[in-house]
Amino acid sequence: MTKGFIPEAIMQGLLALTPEVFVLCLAFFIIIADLILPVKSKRNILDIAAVGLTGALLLTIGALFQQGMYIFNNALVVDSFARFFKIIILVSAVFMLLMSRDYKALENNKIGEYTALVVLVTLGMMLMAGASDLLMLFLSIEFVSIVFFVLVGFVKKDSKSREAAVKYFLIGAFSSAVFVYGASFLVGVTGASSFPSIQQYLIAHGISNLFIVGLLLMLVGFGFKIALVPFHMWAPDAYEGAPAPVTAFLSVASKSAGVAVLIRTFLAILPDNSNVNLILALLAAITMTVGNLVALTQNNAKRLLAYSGIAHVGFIMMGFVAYGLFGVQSVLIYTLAYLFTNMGAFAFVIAIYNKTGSDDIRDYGGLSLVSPALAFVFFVFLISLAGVPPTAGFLGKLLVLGAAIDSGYTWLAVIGVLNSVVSLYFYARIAYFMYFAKEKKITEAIKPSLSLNIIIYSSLFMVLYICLLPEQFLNLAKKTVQLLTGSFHGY
Amino acid sequence: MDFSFISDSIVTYGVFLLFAVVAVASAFLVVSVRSVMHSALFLAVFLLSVAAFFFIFDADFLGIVQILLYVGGVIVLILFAVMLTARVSSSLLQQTNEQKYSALIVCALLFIMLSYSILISGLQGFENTLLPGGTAKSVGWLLMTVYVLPFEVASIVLLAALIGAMAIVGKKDE
Amino acid sequence: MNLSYGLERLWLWLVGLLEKLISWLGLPYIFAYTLEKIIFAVALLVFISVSVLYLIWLERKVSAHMQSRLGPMHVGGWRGWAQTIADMVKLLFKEDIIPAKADKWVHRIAPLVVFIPSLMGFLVIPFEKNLIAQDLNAGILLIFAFSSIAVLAIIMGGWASNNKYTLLGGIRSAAQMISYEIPLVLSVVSVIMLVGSFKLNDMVAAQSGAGKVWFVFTQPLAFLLYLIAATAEVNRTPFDIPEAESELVSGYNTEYSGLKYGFFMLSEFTNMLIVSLVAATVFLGGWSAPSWLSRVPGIVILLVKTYFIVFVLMWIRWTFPRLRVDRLMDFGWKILIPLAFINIFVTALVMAVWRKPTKILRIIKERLLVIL
Repeated sequence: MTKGFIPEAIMQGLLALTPEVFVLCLAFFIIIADLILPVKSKRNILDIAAVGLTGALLLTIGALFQQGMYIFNNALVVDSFARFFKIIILVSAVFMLLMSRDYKALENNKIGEYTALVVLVTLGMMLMAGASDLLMLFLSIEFVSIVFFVLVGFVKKDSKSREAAVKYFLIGAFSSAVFVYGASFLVGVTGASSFPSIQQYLIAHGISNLFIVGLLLMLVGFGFKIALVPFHMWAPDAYEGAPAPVTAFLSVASKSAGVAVLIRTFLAILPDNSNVNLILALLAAITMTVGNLVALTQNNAKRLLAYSGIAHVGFIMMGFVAYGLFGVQSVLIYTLAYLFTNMGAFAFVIAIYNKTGSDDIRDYGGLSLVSPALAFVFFVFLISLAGVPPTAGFLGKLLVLGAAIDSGYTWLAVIGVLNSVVSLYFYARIAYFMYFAKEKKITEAIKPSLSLNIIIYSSLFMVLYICLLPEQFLNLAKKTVQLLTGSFHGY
Repeated sequence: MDFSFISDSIVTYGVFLLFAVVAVASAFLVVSVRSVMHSALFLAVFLLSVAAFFFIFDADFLGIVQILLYVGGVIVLILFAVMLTARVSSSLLQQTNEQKYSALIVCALLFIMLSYSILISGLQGFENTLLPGGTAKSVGWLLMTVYVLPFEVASIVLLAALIGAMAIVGKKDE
Repeated sequence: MNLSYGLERLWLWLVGLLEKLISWLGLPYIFAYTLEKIIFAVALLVFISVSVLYLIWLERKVSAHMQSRLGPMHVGGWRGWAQTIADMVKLLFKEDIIPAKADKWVHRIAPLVVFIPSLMGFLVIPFEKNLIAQDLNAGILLIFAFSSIAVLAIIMGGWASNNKYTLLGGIRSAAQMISYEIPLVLSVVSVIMLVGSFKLNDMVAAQSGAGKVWFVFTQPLAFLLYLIAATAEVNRTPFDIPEAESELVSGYNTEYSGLKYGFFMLSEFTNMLIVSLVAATVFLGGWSAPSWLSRVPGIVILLVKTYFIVFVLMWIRWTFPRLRVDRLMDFGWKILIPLAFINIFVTALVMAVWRKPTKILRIIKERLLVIL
């Protein structure tokens, strides 16, 4: 029955998971490197990890359009949809490691653990993007949450960091309890835990009330991961307290992984979305409105980006509510745009923090005078966040709004447009401080380090490229969605 | 006297009901008792009655694992933490805030919604198949075949948690 | 194996009689079943109480003789055999004091919580092939599971007394028992792998009969690890940190008196009895004996082996000094647990090679050829 030590099916699964296995080996390598390297050269571990993750990224990109399949008895699915999100996760992980290199608050002697955790959490999110079994789903979500609890509170000296970790932990633990409770209903109703089996059950028996209740309880878990209002309470505090690279990572990678599982779960399980769509649409509307309105009064850059991130989740949900081919496609483009825009913005926050030691946007005064070019690049990221052409954020918003109108959610689209207008105000407020503030707090030119520069300029390139030459990316998204394995719609 | 109505199933049902009452009561006490220590102890009672459910339904391996891990491991760790935090163990903390009534309403609504949808859904049990070689063997077999990936990932999660714990508490020499 | 001359025959005869009686009365089988279990449980309880009483007496005698003393000599006549009975009677009549600021209910319940789980372990021990209360599939795990509840009781007792010495004793015992439970379970895992079952009866069967040897010879390291971890698990010197009298008065049970103190003491010896019974069953062949001893009842053979282990434990107690707390932890985590894992790994490797030697060799050859 078996040939050699490893059964055929497992070997096949492992081959399909080459990037994940690679990342896992990298994590072990880092743990060992941490033991060997002297404290002085510990920062090099970050480079090793970044290079390794770039390798995993290339492996994933190379396999992007390979035929999707279920592996390990339906525990995981590897298809281009999962790979797309894995790419987003890996890119943000590489950026995050580069950012950490110059982040002052990180102590040298803790770099080993820090890097190992980052690499492991990347693995967790990659598994999350492909999870197609409730057990695997829960396990990967917990994996990611547990590591992020630690990463958020990593700077122990900072009481804000500790406070953030505790808040994040308490709310996270509670929401995973609710998630498991909901998942238990799904298993109880269908008697199966893998998505294909659940799907088969639903085709045969139809959807019961209890099933929907279970799914909505699971939505609490997803909502926590992507900071959906009203499960967003942790986000501002966690974002503000966490070390800035972790904040950037949390806001991009963790959110994308959450979006991936959310879409996957609903698409793979539900035959149609009529039962839950109104709730999802309402959540989307509330999320963007709350995120944008609260962001208006924020002065801390990380906090402001947290609320703006919440608002962006609202927009992503809007694309998801549209559901069809076009809807998911718009979500992909939006997430891609959000990745580069947000990473660029955070790179600036870190560069300025390293110089001034402050995250307050009122301390950004005078930036345009001392380093005008950088100020302009920052400005580009800000307008991309706001969704103004010619930036990636604009394209994302356009597609999402289009998808919403396309599937009859005009009211949601109107709310979305209004929100964009509101959001312009607080993004412009940062620009105002940079350009017109009377108090010139920043008096010396900001010189981001090489790694930060790599992030800033590659992000800038991508932000402009996605908007100016969108066809490639639209095709990519289209093809990705077409290859989405196991969804009811079969696209 | 006719005792023929007493069969295995009736006895099982009676024992199940008994433990169900104990489980619900102790779960309620976990959240309502004022001392943290007592909460933890009632949690132990709750977990033990869950283990009893496993025994009642012929999953003796799961029941034993439940006791070994949750009562012998988790609860002991919780008690350990309670004992080390002097303030919590010595004084009675206030457990509610001014939002308790609104929370009560939300909980009641949630409870009604859940019980309504559970009651109308007509959940049916699954076939009780006695596993060859007992639950322990079957669980082991499943873990190494069908659920091999979640099983291995769980070990990576534990590794990550271990590193995380070290990062939080560890003091490394410069 | 034919029925031995032991208690087993009596018991099976009794059970048969009971079942006939019940069916004659027209009652369902469940009555007979319940009655059987109750009778067995009562018999077990009597056995445990008597042996524990004598264990305490034995401990005093052994310790005395090791220190060239005599120990209890007067009560009852021969060698002071009634000493512990007298002590127990004294404990029964002592005033029961609960400290004023104690957590009264937890204080009261703790002795019961410590005693009941240590009794539960006896349910799955086969005294002879059919002389077993309930032959559960997960037998040996049940013993470990219930012994882990005892920690709870020690913490409860230590905390509820509201005394810093008892609290410290409780904390120490929690840390120690959690740490040593892991090597304890792991050491038995290799035997479980060899037997392929958690049932204690299967373990005995795997050690008895032609061509089979006791696991103490095939798994010496596991036996050693088990013995060490078990000593720690029952809180005996050199691992008696939780009740180190020179540091902590008397540890977690300082504030207990009368019958409740008696319960703690009894449970300690019950636990010692059960770890010895498990060691005798898992590593020394249990109730089985070589063929030339086949006329001796199995229960006698089991008890002889058990009391040998008990004696070893007492011997250790009165010869070794106590470990320091941090050394104790280091020893558990850094020596015992890795050794247990190595033992499991080597056992698995040997089993794999033993089962399919040619296949493994062929695969290794193929792999080597591929590499070359």
